[in-house]
Amino acid sequence: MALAFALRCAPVMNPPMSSNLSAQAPPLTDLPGASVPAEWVRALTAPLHRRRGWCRGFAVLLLGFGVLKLWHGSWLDALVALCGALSAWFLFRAASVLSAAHASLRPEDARAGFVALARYFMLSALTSALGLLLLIGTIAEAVVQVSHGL
Amino acid sequence: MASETAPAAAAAPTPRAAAGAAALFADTIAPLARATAWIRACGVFNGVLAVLLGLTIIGLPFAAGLAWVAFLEFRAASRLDAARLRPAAPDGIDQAAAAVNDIAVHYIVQAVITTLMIAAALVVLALFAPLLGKTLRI
Repeated sequence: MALAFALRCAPVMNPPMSSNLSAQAPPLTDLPGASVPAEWVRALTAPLHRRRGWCRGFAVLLLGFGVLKLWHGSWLDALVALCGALSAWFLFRAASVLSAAHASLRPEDARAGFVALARYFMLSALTSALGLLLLIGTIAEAVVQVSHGL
Repeated sequence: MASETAPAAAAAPTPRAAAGAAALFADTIAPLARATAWIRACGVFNGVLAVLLGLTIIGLPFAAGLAWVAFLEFRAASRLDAARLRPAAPDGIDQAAAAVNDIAVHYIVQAVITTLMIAAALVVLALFAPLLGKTLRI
Protein backbone atom coordinates (compact mmCIF):
# COMPACT_ATOMS: atom_id res chain seq x y z
CA MET A 1 0.00 0.00 0.00
CA ALA A 2 2.75 2.37 1.07
CA LEU A 3 4.80 1.29 -1.93
CA ALA A 4 1.93 1.87 -4.31
CA PHE A 5 1.33 5.33 -2.88
CA ALA A 6 5.01 6.23 -2.99
CA LEU A 7 5.42 4.99 -6.54
CA ARG A 8 2.42 7.01 -7.55
CA CYS A 9 3.49 10.18 -5.78
CA ALA A 10 7.18 10.07 -6.46
CA PRO A 11 7.13 10.93 -10.16
CA VAL A 12 4.43 13.52 -9.64
CA MET A 13 6.24 15.30 -6.86
CA ASN A 14 9.53 15.82 -8.65
CA PRO A 15 8.65 18.09 -11.55
CA PRO A 16 10.96 20.58 -13.19
CA MET A 17 10.16 23.59 -11.06
CA SER A 18 10.24 27.25 -11.83
CA SER A 19 13.35 29.16 -10.87
CA ASN A 20 11.95 30.70 -7.69
CA LEU A 21 11.13 27.27 -6.30
CA SER A 22 14.31 25.47 -7.22
CA ALA A 23 16.97 27.81 -5.88
CA GLN A 24 18.42 25.09 -3.67
CA ALA A 25 17.09 22.09 -5.51
CA PRO A 26 19.35 19.84 -7.58
CA PRO A 27 19.49 20.48 -11.35
CA LEU A 28 16.32 19.38 -13.07
CA THR A 29 18.04 16.93 -15.33
CA ASP A 30 19.47 15.10 -12.32
CA LEU A 31 16.07 14.41 -10.80
CA PRO A 32 14.77 10.92 -11.40
CA GLY A 33 11.32 12.27 -12.20
CA ALA A 34 12.38 15.29 -14.24
CA SER A 35 9.72 14.64 -16.84
CA VAL A 36 7.08 14.41 -14.21
CA PRO A 37 4.60 17.11 -14.87
CA ALA A 38 4.27 15.21 -18.11
CA GLU A 39 2.27 12.60 -16.23
CA TRP A 40 -0.34 14.88 -14.83
CA VAL A 41 -0.41 17.10 -17.90
CA ARG A 42 -1.25 13.97 -19.86
CA ALA A 43 -3.92 13.00 -17.32
CA LEU A 44 -5.45 16.48 -17.40
CA THR A 45 -5.44 16.95 -21.16
CA ALA A 46 -6.34 13.41 -22.26
CA PRO A 47 -10.15 13.70 -21.88
CA LEU A 48 -10.47 16.79 -24.06
CA HIS A 49 -7.78 15.57 -26.45
CA ARG A 50 -9.72 12.34 -27.04
CA ARG A 51 -12.98 14.24 -27.58
CA ARG A 52 -11.59 17.22 -29.46
CA GLY A 53 -13.75 16.31 -32.46
CA TRP A 54 -16.90 16.64 -30.35
CA CYS A 55 -15.69 19.94 -28.91
CA ARG A 56 -14.99 21.34 -32.36
CA GLY A 57 -18.33 20.05 -33.62
CA PHE A 58 -20.13 21.76 -30.76
CA ALA A 59 -18.15 24.95 -31.43
CA VAL A 60 -19.34 24.88 -35.05
CA LEU A 61 -22.93 24.43 -33.82
CA LEU A 62 -22.49 27.40 -31.47
CA LEU A 63 -21.21 29.48 -34.37
CA GLY A 64 -24.25 28.41 -36.38
CA PHE A 65 -26.46 29.50 -33.49
CA GLY A 66 -24.69 32.87 -33.49
CA VAL A 67 -25.27 33.33 -37.21
CA LEU A 68 -28.93 32.39 -36.78
CA LYS A 69 -29.32 34.94 -33.98
CA LEU A 70 -27.56 37.63 -36.03
CA TRP A 71 -30.01 36.98 -38.81
CA HIS A 72 -32.96 37.90 -36.58
CA GLY A 73 -31.72 41.43 -36.25
CA SER A 74 -32.55 42.91 -32.84
CA TRP A 75 -29.65 44.29 -30.79
CA LEU A 76 -30.18 41.70 -28.06
CA ASP A 77 -30.08 38.95 -30.68
CA ALA A 78 -26.86 40.46 -32.02
CA LEU A 79 -25.38 40.47 -28.51
CA VAL A 80 -26.32 36.82 -28.04
CA ALA A 81 -24.82 36.09 -31.45
CA LEU A 82 -21.58 37.82 -30.48
CA CYS A 83 -21.33 35.95 -27.16
CA GLY A 84 -22.16 32.66 -28.87
CA ALA A 85 -19.57 33.16 -31.59
CA LEU A 86 -16.89 34.20 -29.09
CA SER A 87 -17.61 31.23 -26.85
CA ALA A 88 -17.41 28.98 -29.93
CA TRP A 89 -14.00 30.47 -30.72
CA PHE A 90 -12.72 29.89 -27.19
CA LEU A 91 -14.04 26.33 -27.15
CA PHE A 92 -12.34 25.61 -30.47
CA ARG A 93 -9.15 27.16 -29.16
CA ALA A 94 -9.34 25.23 -25.87
CA ALA A 95 -9.72 21.94 -27.76
CA SER A 96 -6.78 22.78 -30.03
CA VAL A 97 -4.44 24.05 -27.28
CA LEU A 98 -5.21 21.17 -24.89
CA SER A 99 -4.68 18.74 -27.75
CA ALA A 100 -1.31 20.37 -28.43
CA ALA A 101 -0.52 20.22 -24.68
CA HIS A 102 -1.26 16.51 -24.76
CA ALA A 103 1.46 16.20 -27.38
CA SER A 104 3.99 18.63 -25.85
CA LEU A 105 3.23 17.64 -22.21
CA ARG A 106 4.15 21.12 -20.99
CA PRO A 107 2.19 22.53 -18.01
CA GLU A 108 2.15 26.05 -19.51
CA ASP A 109 0.43 24.72 -22.63
CA ALA A 110 -2.18 23.00 -20.47
CA ARG A 111 -2.61 26.25 -18.53
CA ALA A 112 -3.21 28.16 -21.77
CA GLY A 113 -5.85 25.59 -22.71
CA PHE A 114 -7.56 25.98 -19.35
CA VAL A 115 -7.55 29.77 -19.74
CA ALA A 116 -9.43 29.37 -23.03
CA LEU A 117 -11.81 26.87 -21.42
CA ALA A 118 -12.50 29.25 -18.52
CA ARG A 119 -13.29 32.06 -20.99
CA TYR A 120 -15.60 29.70 -22.86
CA PHE A 121 -17.55 29.04 -19.66
CA MET A 122 -17.79 32.76 -18.91
CA LEU A 123 -19.11 33.59 -22.38
CA SER A 124 -21.32 30.51 -22.41
CA ALA A 125 -22.97 31.62 -19.16
CA LEU A 126 -23.55 35.09 -20.63
CA THR A 127 -24.95 33.60 -23.85
CA SER A 128 -27.27 31.31 -21.89
CA ALA A 129 -28.46 34.18 -19.68
CA LEU A 130 -29.20 36.44 -22.65
CA GLY A 131 -30.73 33.54 -24.59
CA LEU A 132 -33.06 32.73 -21.70
CA LEU A 133 -34.00 36.43 -21.49
CA LEU A 134 -34.89 36.36 -25.21
CA LEU A 135 -36.83 33.12 -24.81
CA ILE A 136 -38.86 34.48 -21.90
CA GLY A 137 -39.50 37.67 -23.92
CA THR A 138 -40.72 35.62 -26.89
CA ILE A 139 -43.00 33.51 -24.68
CA ALA A 140 -44.41 36.65 -23.01
CA GLU A 141 -45.01 38.20 -26.44
CA ALA A 142 -46.82 35.05 -27.61
CA VAL A 143 -48.97 35.01 -24.45
CA VAL A 144 -49.91 38.65 -25.00
CA GLN A 145 -50.82 37.97 -28.63
CA VAL A 146 -52.94 34.97 -27.70
CA SER A 147 -54.73 36.90 -24.96
CA HIS A 148 -55.48 39.72 -27.44
CA GLY A 149 -56.79 37.14 -29.88
CA LEU A 150 -59.11 35.73 -27.24
CA MET B 1 8.58 -6.24 2.40
CA ALA B 2 11.89 -4.69 3.45
CA SER B 3 13.09 -4.81 -0.15
CA GLU B 4 9.90 -3.09 -1.23
CA THR B 5 10.12 -0.23 1.23
CA ALA B 6 13.71 0.62 0.38
CA PRO B 7 13.08 1.93 -3.16
CA ALA B 8 9.95 3.63 -1.89
CA ALA B 9 11.96 5.52 0.68
CA ALA B 10 14.59 6.37 -1.92
CA ALA B 11 11.95 7.72 -4.28
CA ALA B 12 10.09 9.65 -1.57
CA PRO B 13 10.08 13.34 -2.43
CA THR B 14 11.48 16.00 -0.16
CA PRO B 15 8.84 18.28 1.38
CA ARG B 16 10.24 21.15 -0.69
CA ALA B 17 9.93 19.23 -3.95
CA ALA B 18 6.42 18.08 -3.01
CA ALA B 19 5.38 21.66 -2.25
CA GLY B 20 6.88 22.82 -5.55
CA ALA B 21 5.05 20.12 -7.48
CA ALA B 22 1.76 20.96 -5.79
CA ALA B 23 2.31 24.67 -6.51
CA LEU B 24 3.04 23.99 -10.18
CA PHE B 25 -0.02 21.78 -10.47
CA ALA B 26 -2.21 24.35 -8.68
CA ASP B 27 -0.89 27.08 -11.00
CA THR B 28 -1.69 24.96 -14.06
CA ILE B 29 -5.32 24.33 -13.13
CA ALA B 30 -5.81 27.79 -11.56
CA PRO B 31 -7.49 29.44 -14.59
CA LEU B 32 -10.17 26.75 -14.73
CA ALA B 33 -10.42 26.32 -10.95
CA ARG B 34 -11.09 30.06 -10.58
CA ALA B 35 -13.93 29.85 -13.13
CA THR B 36 -16.08 27.46 -11.10
CA ALA B 37 -18.65 30.21 -10.49
CA TRP B 38 -19.11 30.58 -14.26
CA ILE B 39 -19.32 26.80 -14.66
CA ARG B 40 -22.03 26.68 -11.99
CA ALA B 41 -23.81 29.59 -13.69
CA CYS B 42 -23.84 27.55 -16.92
CA GLY B 43 -25.26 24.65 -14.90
CA VAL B 44 -28.03 26.85 -13.49
CA PHE B 45 -28.99 28.22 -16.92
CA ASN B 46 -28.96 24.75 -18.47
CA GLY B 47 -31.10 23.55 -15.57
CA VAL B 48 -33.63 26.37 -16.12
CA LEU B 49 -33.69 25.59 -19.85
CA ALA B 50 -34.22 21.92 -19.01
CA VAL B 51 -37.22 22.80 -16.81
CA LEU B 52 -38.70 25.03 -19.56
CA LEU B 53 -38.19 22.28 -22.13
CA GLY B 54 -39.67 19.70 -19.77
CA LEU B 55 -42.82 21.81 -19.42
CA THR B 56 -43.48 21.41 -23.14
CA ILE B 57 -43.69 17.59 -22.68
CA ILE B 58 -42.47 17.11 -26.28
CA GLY B 59 -39.13 18.47 -25.16
CA LEU B 60 -38.73 15.99 -22.28
CA PRO B 61 -35.91 13.96 -23.91
CA PHE B 62 -33.96 17.15 -24.54
CA ALA B 63 -34.76 18.33 -21.01
CA ALA B 64 -33.32 15.09 -19.62
CA GLY B 65 -30.15 15.60 -21.67
CA LEU B 66 -29.80 19.21 -20.54
CA ALA B 67 -30.36 18.20 -16.92
CA TRP B 68 -27.51 15.72 -17.34
CA VAL B 69 -25.34 18.51 -18.79
CA ALA B 70 -26.18 20.73 -15.80
CA PHE B 71 -25.34 17.91 -13.40
CA LEU B 72 -21.99 17.30 -15.11
CA GLU B 73 -21.18 21.02 -14.92
CA PHE B 74 -21.97 21.15 -11.21
CA ARG B 75 -19.93 18.01 -10.54
CA ALA B 76 -16.98 19.35 -12.56
CA ALA B 77 -17.11 22.62 -10.59
CA SER B 78 -17.15 20.74 -7.27
CA ARG B 79 -14.25 18.54 -8.33
CA LEU B 80 -12.26 21.56 -9.48
CA ASP B 81 -12.87 23.23 -6.13
CA ALA B 82 -11.67 20.07 -4.38
CA ALA B 83 -8.55 19.98 -6.57
CA ARG B 84 -7.86 23.65 -5.85
CA LEU B 85 -8.16 23.12 -2.11
CA ARG B 86 -6.01 19.97 -2.07
CA PRO B 87 -3.53 20.27 -4.93
CA ALA B 88 -1.07 17.74 -3.48
CA ALA B 89 -0.83 14.56 -5.49
CA PRO B 90 -2.54 12.23 -6.05
CA ASP B 91 -5.78 13.65 -4.69
CA GLY B 92 -5.80 16.91 -6.63
CA ILE B 93 -4.69 15.36 -9.88
CA ASP B 94 -7.41 12.71 -9.80
CA GLN B 95 -10.07 15.29 -8.97
CA ALA B 96 -8.92 17.70 -11.68
CA ALA B 97 -8.66 14.92 -14.30
CA ALA B 98 -12.18 13.75 -13.37
CA ALA B 99 -13.43 17.34 -13.68
CA VAL B 100 -11.91 17.74 -17.16
CA ASN B 101 -13.43 14.40 -18.09
CA ASP B 102 -16.86 15.64 -16.95
CA ILE B 103 -16.39 18.76 -19.06
CA ALA B 104 -15.41 16.69 -22.09
CA VAL B 105 -18.44 14.40 -21.68
CA HIS B 106 -20.76 17.38 -21.28
CA TYR B 107 -19.62 18.66 -24.69
CA ILE B 108 -20.57 15.34 -26.25
CA VAL B 109 -24.04 15.46 -24.68
CA GLN B 110 -24.49 19.10 -25.68
CA ALA B 111 -23.36 18.45 -29.25
CA VAL B 112 -25.79 15.52 -29.58
CA ILE B 113 -28.70 17.43 -27.99
CA THR B 114 -28.09 20.52 -30.13
CA THR B 115 -27.95 18.47 -33.32
CA LEU B 116 -31.16 16.63 -32.42
CA MET B 117 -32.89 19.89 -31.48
CA ILE B 118 -31.91 21.51 -34.77
CA ALA B 119 -33.18 18.45 -36.64
CA ALA B 120 -36.44 18.53 -34.66
CA ALA B 121 -36.83 22.29 -35.24
CA LEU B 122 -36.28 21.84 -38.98
CA VAL B 123 -38.89 19.06 -39.09
CA VAL B 124 -41.39 21.20 -37.16
CA LEU B 125 -40.71 24.16 -39.44
CA ALA B 126 -41.11 22.03 -42.55
CA LEU B 127 -44.41 20.62 -41.26
CA PHE B 128 -46.01 23.72 -39.78
CA ALA B 129 -44.57 26.76 -41.57
CA PRO B 130 -46.74 26.24 -44.69
CA LEU B 131 -49.82 25.93 -42.47
CA LEU B 132 -49.06 29.15 -40.63
CA GLY B 133 -48.23 31.00 -43.83
CA LYS B 134 -45.24 32.84 -42.39
CA THR B 135 -41.78 32.10 -41.11
CA LEU B 136 -41.53 30.92 -37.54
CA ARG B 137 -39.17 32.63 -35.15
CA ILE B 138 -36.79 30.17 -33.48
